[in-house]
Amino acid sequence: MILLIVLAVAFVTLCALGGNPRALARARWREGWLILAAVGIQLATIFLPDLQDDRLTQWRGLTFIITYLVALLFLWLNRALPGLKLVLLGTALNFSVMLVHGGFMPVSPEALQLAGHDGLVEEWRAGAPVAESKDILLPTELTRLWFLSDIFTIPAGLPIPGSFSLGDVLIAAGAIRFLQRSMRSPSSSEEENSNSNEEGGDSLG
Amino acid sequence: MKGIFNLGAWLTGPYLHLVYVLLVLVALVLAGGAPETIGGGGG
Repeated sequence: MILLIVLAVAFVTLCALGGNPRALARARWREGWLILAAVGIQLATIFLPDLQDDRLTQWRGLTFIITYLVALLFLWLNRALPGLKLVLLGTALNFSVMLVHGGFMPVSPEALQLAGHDGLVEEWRAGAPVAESKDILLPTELTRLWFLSDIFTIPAGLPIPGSFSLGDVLIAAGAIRFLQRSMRSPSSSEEENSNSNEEGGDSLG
Repeated sequence: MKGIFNLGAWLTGPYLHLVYVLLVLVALVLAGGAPETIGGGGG
């Protein structure tokens, strides 16, 4: 939910700053059905009941791995669009840490408690699934690639409390970059393109 | 009647593509992101 709220705030802010939402219609996705299918399957998996069934948990992890591969394929196909290389990098970082944990994103008990979301775990044991997410509970000392897991936390009491990863930050930055570049009017986009061509362009735009 | 025609423009014109662009953007953020709560838990 954090990512969607950030995206919505960015969209409204860019509109208020003179961005043209209609200009977004110029964007052309390649194979958009891939990402729609991936997110549809992920959401169905996330909201599956009976989280404590271990065999079901394995299937959930495998589903996340497969859908991340599909998402990465989609992002690779669309990497020429503004901001999408950042989103690709963020997704790859999330995928890396999830891959070494059976398809799940680790979050520490301390982070979960700090965010006030300890009610999302039925059983406080290492590897327990966190409801409504792709996460599992895992102490930091047991987490491989811990620096790529959900290590950033907005504490309870602040707006939109929750934990998120470095990959999530890059994904949000890339999505905002996409909105910012795509909501410019055609004339300003052309001006910027000619300027960036003269300057050699940017590598992650 | 004008409202109906406007609705038709929404469904057939660039607006539908605009909705599609935003839908895919939301989908790629959700599919790639892994915050600790996707649902209504507040995260």
